[in-house]
Amino acid sequence: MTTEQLLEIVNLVLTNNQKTAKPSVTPETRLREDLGMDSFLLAELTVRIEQMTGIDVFGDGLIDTVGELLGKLEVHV
Amino acid sequence: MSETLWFLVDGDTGNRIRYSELPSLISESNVYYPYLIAENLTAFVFNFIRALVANRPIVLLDADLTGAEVAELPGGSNLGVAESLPPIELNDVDSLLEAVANSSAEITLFTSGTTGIPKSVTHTVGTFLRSVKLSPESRNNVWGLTYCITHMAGLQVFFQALMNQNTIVNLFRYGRSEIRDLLERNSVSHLSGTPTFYRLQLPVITPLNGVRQVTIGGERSSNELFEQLGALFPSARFTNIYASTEAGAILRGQGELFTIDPSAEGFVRVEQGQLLIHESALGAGVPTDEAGWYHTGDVVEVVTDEPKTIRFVRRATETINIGGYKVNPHEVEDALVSHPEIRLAKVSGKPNSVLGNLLVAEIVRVPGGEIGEQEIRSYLAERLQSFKIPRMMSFRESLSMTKASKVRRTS
Repeated sequence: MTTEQLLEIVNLVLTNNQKTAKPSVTPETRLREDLGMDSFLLAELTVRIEQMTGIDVFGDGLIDTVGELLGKLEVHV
Repeated sequence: MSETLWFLVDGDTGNRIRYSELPSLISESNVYYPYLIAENLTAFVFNFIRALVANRPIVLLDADLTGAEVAELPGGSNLGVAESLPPIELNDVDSLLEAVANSSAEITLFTSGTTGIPKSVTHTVGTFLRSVKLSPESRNNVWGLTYCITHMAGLQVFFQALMNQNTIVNLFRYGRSEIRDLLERNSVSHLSGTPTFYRLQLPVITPLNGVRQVTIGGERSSNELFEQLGALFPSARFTNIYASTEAGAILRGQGELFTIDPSAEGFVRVEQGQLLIHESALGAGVPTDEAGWYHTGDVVEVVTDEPKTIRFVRRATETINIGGYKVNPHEVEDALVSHPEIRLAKVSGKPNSVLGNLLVAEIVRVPGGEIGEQEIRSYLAERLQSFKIPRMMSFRESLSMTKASKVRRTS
């Protein structure tokens, strides 16, 4: 998955939950602190990523950043 | 000593209230609201304590209830109506605590019910005080409130802290970095929360050494979570708690196992794999069988007989546990099919690594119906609390009908 594809999913989750879409994310972007994701948004995020990739990115516990998330997906590829 | 003790630290309002100020703050108003959706924790707490010391009934409503949901509740039309109280005389903190402990106030909470309509359960302070531990060693505890105060677990923390004159630090709905900051700045020593709350505090950045007690409840938890939390809270003792809106805190345990103490055997038992609670331990309004036992719907496995320890296996009811919030799928299905473009709906829980379960909906639109996921979410947001809104929706041509799953349809 590319950063752009991930941004699309992130923004879908944000707008689904009455939050403003982000113009961009970087590997350093933090899911909770920077994107303001709470438990419900994180839960939705991992399910939407799983739909595309088959991978539950929080299956081994929560992670902090977009970079770590992309890393989870690469390891599995 | 009580001159310096903080009662409440509420970041939502910026309020910091001392125990020494509490008696006059409670006495200064001679009205209270039996049905109140409080704007913030401070407002809730003052109204609640006023009802308790004046022995008046109070109905606890979640802050995010929609107008449509309140209208469905018994007595919901009384929302926000003030009632006057006789003058409240409280000389000091001790007299306030005595009045709370001896209160005959009826405290009503709502459960998700089994039919789709929320049911009320009415308790007195005795339900909460039963599991409050009073001790001189508890005197300096500082509690982090991670729960919604209008729910059983939040009330349990409230009474535990209040009766011991401990500080309550509001952590409900805060993000992880704010929570770390609040824990450290206020020297929080005691935490009680759901597995979902604790999962959100992971992974470990640096250990939080100040926390001495970690209580976990409201959902099934796993040994893996306990291990990870051991690294986050290295100085803490861990306790698992089983509580319900119907009965309050009933069982304590370590890890996944709960012990039924000999003292609890009179009101807790396992029958055909299901946990039952006797009416002597229940609030008013809870349905029981002829012998006075409430069937919790929690399927348990007996692990050892002496002492009796059990492990929770699953729910036998249709209620879905979403991060500690109980959702009745029928209530959500009814709200879905109330939309003119939705013909059928089926709501279920999908296992989820963050929330335990994620609420999902399968939807059949009326012929020609074009409503999409975002529009449905907005429609539901006007009718249901946020945790009851399905986070994934799929659109189908038809839904399979089985005996076990009755599908809701437009009537």
